[in-house]
Amino acid sequence: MTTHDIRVPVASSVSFEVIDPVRALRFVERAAAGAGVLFVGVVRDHDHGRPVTSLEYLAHPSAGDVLAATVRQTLLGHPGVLAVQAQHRTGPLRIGEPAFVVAVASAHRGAAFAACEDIVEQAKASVPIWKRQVFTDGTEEWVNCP
Amino acid sequence: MVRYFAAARAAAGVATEQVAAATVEDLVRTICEAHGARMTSVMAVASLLLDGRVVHEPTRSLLDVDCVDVLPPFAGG
Repeated sequence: MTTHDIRVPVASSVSFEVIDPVRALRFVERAAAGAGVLFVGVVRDHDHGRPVTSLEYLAHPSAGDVLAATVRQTLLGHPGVLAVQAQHRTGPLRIGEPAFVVAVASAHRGAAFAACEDIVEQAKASVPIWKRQVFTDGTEEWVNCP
Repeated sequence: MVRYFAAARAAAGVATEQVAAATVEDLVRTICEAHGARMTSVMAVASLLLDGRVVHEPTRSLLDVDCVDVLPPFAGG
């Protein structure tokens, strides 16, 4: 039997709400799951070797829909996945706070690791979210943009 | 109406504005001329949504378009 179908439970969101990574992992728990993989993207205090003091994420109004569609599309290549939760935070974040969390469950760890990484990479490439960071010298940048 | 996001909004100094243009390339040229060097470098790497759909053709007409979104390169995660 394959679980390669659109009934795989997927929860996703792009919102101002604080993300609880443990809750994301709980969401994907299944009796049939032998592995749960959790990615936690965290705000760090440096970028390109420069100290970062604050950071904000901004999302296009379509970002939530795009994230959901990206997860669904990515799962077509990962038939063993049993459940997914993907959450991206927006607004001002502090150093150390989770910004992007993806939890994946599957029967075996290989499928969960592979799907989690693929979802993270596809979402970073496809979801219209932007990051502005401010450095300790007062300069700021929109990441990936001149 | 043109809606600017992130670095494009910073370069434009406004979130939205009305821009008269017949085609996508006309629009891009007009925006760059109106907002200067920083906007020109942002527009060079930005993608455009016409009423929510990605556009690739510079010659695409804007006659039937209500809203153009200017999206700089994404940086989520």
